[in-house]
Amino acid sequence: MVDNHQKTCTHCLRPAVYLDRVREIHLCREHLMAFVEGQVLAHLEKTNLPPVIGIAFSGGKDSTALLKAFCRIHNDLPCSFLAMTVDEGIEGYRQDTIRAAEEICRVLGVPHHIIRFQDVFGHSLDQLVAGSERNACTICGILRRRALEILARRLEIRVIATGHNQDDHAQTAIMNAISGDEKKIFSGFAESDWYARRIKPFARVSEREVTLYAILNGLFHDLPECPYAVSSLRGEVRTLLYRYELKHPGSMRNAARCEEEIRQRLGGSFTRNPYQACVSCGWPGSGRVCQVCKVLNDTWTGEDKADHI
Amino acid sequence: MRLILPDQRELQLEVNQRTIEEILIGMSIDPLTTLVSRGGEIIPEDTIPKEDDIIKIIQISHGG
Repeated sequence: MVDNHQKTCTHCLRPAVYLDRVREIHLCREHLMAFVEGQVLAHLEKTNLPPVIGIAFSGGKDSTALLKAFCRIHNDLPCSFLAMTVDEGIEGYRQDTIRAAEEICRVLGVPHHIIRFQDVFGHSLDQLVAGSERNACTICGILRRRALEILARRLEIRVIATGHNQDDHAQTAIMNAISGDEKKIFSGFAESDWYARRIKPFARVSEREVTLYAILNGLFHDLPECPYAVSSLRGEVRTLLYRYELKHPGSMRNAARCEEEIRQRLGGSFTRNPYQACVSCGWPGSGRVCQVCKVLNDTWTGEDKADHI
Repeated sequence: MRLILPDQRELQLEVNQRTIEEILIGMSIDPLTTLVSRGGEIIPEDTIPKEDDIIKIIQISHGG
């Protein structure tokens, strides 16, 4: 007889911790962890990997869960790994999360490297935001990507794993559709020897599963939210997708996979633009002047501009 | 049942054979944005709690 007060795992009858609505099964702690780690391993096994890869590690729940998953399956991995953190310089917020990131790496025994906006661009995010009319998240996103690339080059890392999960992919796909920006879906840029290749081992794992994995490993801490976080299109799309997922299980997964499947069906028939070298810093980018230089030029002029190469 | 919300507010509710999912939806909380804990153990949201259970709701994602 089914005990509705204590659900049990479909596989082993231990107490369940998770209802998988798509597969209509319950999972216990062990089977949920095995599922998440299996998805990560499956992603890595179909990827050509160098001897060492970097894990983009913010200290948040997604990248923490990814780091833990790598540690738990390291015997099965074809590569070793290290953690890479960007300190954007956000007073009253980032110090605590950086300390948490350092502590997690110490406990897990993972080599940890940190790069700071202040050192690379000459200014913290707080200073850049104060001197710009641009949205803080726009500045941060552009510069964080560059900072991570600079750190990767220093460490000779050619592949970076990020903690993006299935929900992130689904949100991005819907945002691309809403904004009608087919270039983002069908073109993009050609592979570059300059930039490290990005991989997303949680691409088939939902945000709930990632969070639960972090909780079950004792790694979920209710860290403060970034003070620059604002309501955005992504937030609205997230709410919409959760509503659909509740009524139609699998919607999130389907939205996450649709772009990928369309691209696969198109094969190589869509145009990939070559990068252009930025006339200011020389880094490959989308135009004559790269986004990083545009942000820095908009914010700081003349002698204030940092040498970020 | 005592329900502890992510903002630490505590509510005393009658279960009436409802699942936690149904209780959350009744409070306009999307259960997919949360995880559920009972006595420090995570449980699925389709569990029917007992009247003397203390249920804690954990928010998994913020705005932005």
